[in-house]
Amino acid sequence: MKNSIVRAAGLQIRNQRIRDAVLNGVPKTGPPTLRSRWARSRYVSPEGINEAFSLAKEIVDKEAANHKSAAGEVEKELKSATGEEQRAELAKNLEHHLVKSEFHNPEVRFNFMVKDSVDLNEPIYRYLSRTEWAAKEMLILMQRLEQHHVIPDTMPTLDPRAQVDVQFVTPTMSSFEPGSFLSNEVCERRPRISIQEFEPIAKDSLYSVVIVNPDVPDLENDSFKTLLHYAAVNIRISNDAPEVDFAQATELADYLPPHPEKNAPAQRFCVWVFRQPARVEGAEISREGFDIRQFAGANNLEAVGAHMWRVRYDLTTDFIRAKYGLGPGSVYFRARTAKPEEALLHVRHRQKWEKFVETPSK
Amino acid sequence: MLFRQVQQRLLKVQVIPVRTATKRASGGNKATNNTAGRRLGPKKGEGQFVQAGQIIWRQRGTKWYPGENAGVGRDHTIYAREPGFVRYYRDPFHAKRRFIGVALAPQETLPTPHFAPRRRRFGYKPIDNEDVADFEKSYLTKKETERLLEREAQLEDRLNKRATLQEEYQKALAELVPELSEEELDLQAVRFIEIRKYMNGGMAFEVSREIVDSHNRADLAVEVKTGRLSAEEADKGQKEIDVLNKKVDDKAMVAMVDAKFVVVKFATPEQRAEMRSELIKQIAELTKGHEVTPGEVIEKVELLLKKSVFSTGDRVTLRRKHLRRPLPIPISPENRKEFEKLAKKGEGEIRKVWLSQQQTMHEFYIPTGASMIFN
Repeated sequence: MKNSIVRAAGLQIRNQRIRDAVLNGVPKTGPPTLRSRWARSRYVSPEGINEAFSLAKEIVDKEAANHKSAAGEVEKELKSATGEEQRAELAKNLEHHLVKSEFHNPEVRFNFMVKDSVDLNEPIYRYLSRTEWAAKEMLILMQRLEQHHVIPDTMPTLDPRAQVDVQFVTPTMSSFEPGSFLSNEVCERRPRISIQEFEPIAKDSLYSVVIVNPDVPDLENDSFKTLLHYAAVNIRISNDAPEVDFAQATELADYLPPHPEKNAPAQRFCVWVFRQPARVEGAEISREGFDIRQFAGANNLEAVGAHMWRVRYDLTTDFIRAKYGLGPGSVYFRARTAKPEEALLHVRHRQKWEKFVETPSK
Repeated sequence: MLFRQVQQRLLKVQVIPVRTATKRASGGNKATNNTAGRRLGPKKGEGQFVQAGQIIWRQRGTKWYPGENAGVGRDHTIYAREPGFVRYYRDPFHAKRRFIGVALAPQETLPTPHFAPRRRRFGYKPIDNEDVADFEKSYLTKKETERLLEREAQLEDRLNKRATLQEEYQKALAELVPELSEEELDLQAVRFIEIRKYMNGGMAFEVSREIVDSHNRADLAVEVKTGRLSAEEADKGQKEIDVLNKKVDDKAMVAMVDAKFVVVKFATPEQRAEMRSELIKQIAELTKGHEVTPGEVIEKVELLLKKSVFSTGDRVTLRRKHLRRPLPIPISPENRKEFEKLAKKGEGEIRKVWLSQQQTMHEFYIPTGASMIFN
C-alpha cells in the first residue's frame, strides 16, 4: 500500500500486528483484535473491503496532505503575526487544519476507539475527546447546573470548556453524575479532581478549584447563606496531565466535610474550576458568607468547568460531626408551615408526639 | 395500465348514501346567556401581604402566569407559595406574558435579575424542646428503616467474618514479623484489613497502602485540630506508627492467592516482576515440545499458576499460550469407524459443525477437553 503522507509516530497504532491488520487487511489467521482463537477462525471480512479501503485511503491521504500544507502556511503566518486578535484567529485556523489532517486517519480512529495511547497533546485527540464529552457528559452537567439552580445561585452562568471529574477515595473509586445524592460518610475527605482541557493550553497552566455550599440555613434572615468548603489556587494543569496535584497547589481553605442538619432541605456542593491569568498570592478568604463571584472577580478568574453533588442528613452525619468537632447541629420541624408544632399533633402522629408536646422540657 | 383506469372509473361511480338530519337534535341555546358571574379577577392587589397558599387571582385560561414564589392551580388560579407581598409584573425574557409573583420583602421588586442569585426563604423552624428534637432525629423514613434493619441482620455475620480475617492476618504477620508484640500485631492486622478493602476494589497493594496510611495521618491531624490531642502527642504517636509500619512493610504485604487476599512475604514490584518472568520461563520449559500437553504437565503448570505474582488475567493468557489441548479431527469415510468406537467409549463425541469460511457442514470428532477450533 502506498503511503503518500508522513504521519507522526505518536498517532500510530502501538501493536504492530493490529496496525498491519488495520492498514493492510485482515490476515488469514483472523483479526488480531479478537481475543479467542475460536472467534478469529470464525471471522469473515465483507467482500471487496480491502479494495474499497485502499481506494478510500488514497483520497483521505490526499486531503490530509492538503490540510498539512495549509497548516504549515498558517504556522508561518502565526510566527510573523503581532496583533492579539489576529494571532487568536490564526491559532484557531491552525488547530482546524491539524484536526482535519488526521480526521479520517484509521489509526487515530482505532486508537481513540480502544482508548489506547491517546495523547491529548495532539489536536485530533483533543477534538475527538471534546466531541464525545459534548455529546453526553457536558449536556448532563449543564442540565443539572440549571435544574438545581447552581447557576445563578453561585456563579451567574457557565460556558463549559473543561471536563471536570470528581472522585471520592473509596474502594470502588467511581465517578458520579453531577447532582447525585452522596452519603455523608463518602464525602468525608477531599475528593480527587481532574480537569481535562480540550483547548490547547500551555504546559502547567494555572487553575483554581472552589467548593461552596449555598444552602446553609440562615435563621436570622430566614434565608440561606454560603459556606466555603474548599479553596485551592495555583493548581498546575496540562492538556495531558489533568489530575489535580493538591500537594503542589496553594490551599486557601482546607476541606470541610458536609454536615447537613436533620429536616433541612438537601444541600448542594458546587465545585467550580477557574482558569487563572497569573499566580494568585495572598488572597483573603472567610469561610462563612463566602462570595464566590466577588472572589472570582477580585482574582480575575474565568470559570471553565463545574461539577456538583448533593447531601442530606443521613445515618452517618452524626459520626462525621463528632469526628470533626462540628457540634450536634439543629433539628428542624418536618413541616414547613407557620405553626409547625400544630402539624406534630396531626391525627397520624398524635400518639407518637403527645407525650413530648404536652410536657415542655425542663 | 388499463386495469388501473377501469378501477379509478369504478371508484368515481360509487355512491355513498348519506342520511341528512331532518329532525332537530335535543337541547336549545336560548338559556345560556344569563348564568351567574364566576367571580373571576383579582383577589389580592399589588403590594398586599399574603400567606402561603392564599389565592391572588382567579381566571379562565392563563391570562396571568405564575411568577416567583407563586403557583398555578388546576383551574389556572394563581396562588402564593411563600408568605410575602404581591407583585404584578412583566419579564423581559417572556415579552408576551404577564406575571403575578410574591416578593419576600416589602421593598423587593420583581423579577429578580436573570443572572442574580435567587432570593430564597428557609421557612423551617428549629425544635427547641430537646426531647422532641431527639425523637425527631431518631425518625427514619421507611426506606432508611429497612436499610438499617437489613444492616443489623448482617452485622453479626460481618463481625464474625472480620474476626476470623483478623485472626488469620495476625497469625500470618506473627510468622513473617516475629518481633511484634500482641498489641502491635493487632494494630497491623487492622491496617492490613483496611488495605485489603481497597485492593478488593481493584487497586494495587502499594496504592492501597498509601491511601490507608494517608487517611490515618489525616485522622490524627483532625484529632489535633479538634483539641482532643496535643500537637506533641500526635507527633510522637505518628513517629511511633511510622517506625512500626516500616518494620512491617519490609517483610509483609497483601496479595491475592486463589481468589483470596492473604498476607504474604513482601516483595517489591521489581522483585515480583522478576519472579513472574522466572515462573513463566519454567512454564514454557515444562510445556515445550508437546503436540498435546499431557495431564501431569497440566497439573504441574496449574500449581505454578497458583502463585500470587500472577493475576487472574495472567493465568488465562498463560494457559492459552502454553497448554496445548487436542484439536477436533475432521471425519472422513476412512477414519469414521475408528472414531465412532472412541466416541462410544466416551473419550469424545462426533458432532456436525458449520464451517463459516467454507460455507459447509462437516462432521468432526471432538476429544474431551479439546479446543473448539474447526479448520
